[in-house]
Amino acid sequence: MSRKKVYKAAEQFSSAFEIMPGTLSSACGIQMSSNREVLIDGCRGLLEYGDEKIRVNVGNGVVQLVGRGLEIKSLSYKAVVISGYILSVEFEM
Amino acid sequence: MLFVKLVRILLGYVRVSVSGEHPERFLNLCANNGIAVWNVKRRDEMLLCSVFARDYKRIRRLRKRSRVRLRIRHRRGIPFVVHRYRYRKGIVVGALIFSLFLGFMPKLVWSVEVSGNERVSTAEILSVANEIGIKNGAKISSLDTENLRLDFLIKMPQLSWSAINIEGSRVTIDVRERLSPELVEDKSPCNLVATADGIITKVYVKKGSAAVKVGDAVRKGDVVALGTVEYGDLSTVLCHAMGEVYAQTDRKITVTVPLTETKLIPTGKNETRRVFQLFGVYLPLYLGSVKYDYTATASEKTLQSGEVVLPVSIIEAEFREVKKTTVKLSLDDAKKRAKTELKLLEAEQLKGAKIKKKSITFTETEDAIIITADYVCEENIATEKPLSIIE
Repeated sequence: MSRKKVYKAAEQFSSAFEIMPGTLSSACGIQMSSNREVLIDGCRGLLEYGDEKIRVNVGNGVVQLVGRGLEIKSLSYKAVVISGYILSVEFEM
Repeated sequence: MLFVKLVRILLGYVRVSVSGEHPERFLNLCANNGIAVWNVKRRDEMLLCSVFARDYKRIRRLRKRSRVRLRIRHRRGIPFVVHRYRYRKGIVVGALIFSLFLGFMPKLVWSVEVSGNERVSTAEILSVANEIGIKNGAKISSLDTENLRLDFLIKMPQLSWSAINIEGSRVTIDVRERLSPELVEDKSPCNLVATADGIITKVYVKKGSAAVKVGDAVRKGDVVALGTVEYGDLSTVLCHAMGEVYAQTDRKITVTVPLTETKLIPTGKNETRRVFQLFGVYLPLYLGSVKYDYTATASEKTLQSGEVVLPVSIIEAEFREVKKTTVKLSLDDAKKRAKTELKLLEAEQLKGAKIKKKSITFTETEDAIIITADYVCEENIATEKPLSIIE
């Protein structure tokens, strides 16, 4: 079974049992505390790191954070916490 | 977050600056290799980040793959402090002793105090407390205050109530003394018997019936008054005989005074020796033992913090060397001494007796003088003796 099929089946299963989408698949989870801190779970690596722009690879796409004074508070296997003044979160899928 | 910071300090971490073309690549490599990185900050072309001290060797290997240069900015945490002082074993030993002291000392009794006593001396109470295990250096956990309190009351009948309170490392023994109850008149039947041989001179019987009359001779132990009363109808009733029976008695006191006497004369050579005491354990602060004849006086200096007496003290003893010399007493001196001794014995043995006649004879031997005093006294010789019904 291809990865896409697995992904689709997981999505269907979670929608049938009203589980939050992405919980069963390997999709990334993003948790924000206001616009001051963001936790990206399922990060596959940093693509770009600067004070005003951070791009994070989340497997099936890229999450781009734009803001001021951005910094990585913590980076570990598959999770990154970014703090700063976040102006926008964009997805490139 | 505080906990996380604590863990980082405990494990130790380094702040590293990463410079190169793609520092992001270095961060990704770290993440993929399970190396935690935090507080990543951008400074121009350089990244500043923190990693655990134990991971530093691993990131040095990743440096080549990501083509960056690493520089340690500073080191933080306990492992670095320990490393700095690794050759100073004294600090470790001191810290260990200190923590042992801190951990162990609160479990022991530091001082025992007594309150509420008026007639019974504190020293007496403390010695009984010591006997039942309440003493400096005793383990607090082994003190069962309720049982000890009862034990304490059994051993000290002059107390009516006691409480043993433990406040931290201090034990307070609170006591109440027994109020002596009024003596209840003894009403059990008894006779009056003579305490000495003699000739009866006066008979005063307040209760019971006299068994002797003036002029009778009695021996020690003879009944002088009966605890029975006979009535006209020939019935006999037992009673508690009371009264005074005076008799003329002969007494003799002998005092022997040796003519030679051993005196201790100080030679002027003094020595002070100290003993350190901690929780009842005595550590001598000197070597060897005193080899000459001596008289010694000891004083104790106890460490005190405010009102709290600490179980640490230094006992200082002063040893004064003495020489034993034999002094010969003159005959007059010996007689004088014998007379004063006789007076003391007289006051003690003939208490309450009226001396009617006294004759003193001196006997001299080679090395002593013996003084013999013969007395004719008038004294109360009646004493109570319980009457056995079976007899």
